[in-house]
Amino acid sequence: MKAAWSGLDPALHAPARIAIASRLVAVERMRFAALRDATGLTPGNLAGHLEALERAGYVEQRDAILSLRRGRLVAMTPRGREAFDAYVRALEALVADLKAQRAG
Amino acid sequence: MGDPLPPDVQAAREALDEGRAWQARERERRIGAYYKVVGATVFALGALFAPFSFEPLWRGRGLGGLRLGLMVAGALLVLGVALWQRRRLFRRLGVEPDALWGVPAGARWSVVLLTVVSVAVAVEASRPDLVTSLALGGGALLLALQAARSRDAAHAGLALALGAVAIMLAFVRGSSWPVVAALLAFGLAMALTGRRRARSPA
Repeated sequence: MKAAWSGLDPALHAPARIAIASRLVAVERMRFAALRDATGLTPGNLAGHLEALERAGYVEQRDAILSLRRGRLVAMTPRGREAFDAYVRALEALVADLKAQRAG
Repeated sequence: MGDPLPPDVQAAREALDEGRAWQARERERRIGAYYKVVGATVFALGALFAPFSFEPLWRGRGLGGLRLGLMVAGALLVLGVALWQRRRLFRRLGVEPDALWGVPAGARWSVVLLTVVSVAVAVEASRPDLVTSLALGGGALLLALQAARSRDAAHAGLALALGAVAIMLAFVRGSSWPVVAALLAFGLAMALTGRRRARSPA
């Protein structure tokens, strides 16, 4: 989705990426399969969004063994956490401004 | 009436609300996991102490320090597990003490009181003690009130366990078994409640 508002981070301004980020900020790391189940995205769709977020420096992915099972682990980087916090603040401020404008 | 927001902003806000709802469900699941681990640790401690409650040496001359030492070591173990699990499960997600324990800020003193009384019970459980029994009964009442307020099965279970031990302590002489019973009941109540909460679709 193209960002219509200059204050919102275009790398995060899409429902699927918000869904991904809101899961990843709550955990240290997450299995790809668990993230897929939590977001309801298809594997291909999820992989595409993760690649975009990785290019922005917001997430990192690596293959690892966790609880005796091999799989791809996904984690939010400190930069990604800061960016998502800033995005949420900007979105809430924008919504408040728009509502005030419509009401006034 | 629709929300007068541009479609992309509206979609982003809905995704954010949905993400927050997921975080709330995940927090509830992790509170259940926390109860399970801490409850199982308390139960294991009770099971470990159980043989000692039937051992004369346990309450015999010269071994009072051993009993106290084991109780302190057990309390430190439970505290360590609780702190470790809290950090492991909630470092990123965060949790309010009210949500974790159902204890409002104004009633935190009751937790401190219960801790102090529990230590007193651990040390003094070898004889009937009406004062300790009444203090424990007061703690059970606080937990029961909390359970009624928040419809929380964990507090109801703990209130029953504490109340039962308070009654036992008023009449039983010459054994530390009420402490063991308290640990087993506390641990089981927490672990079972955690199992239920971890499965909760809330």
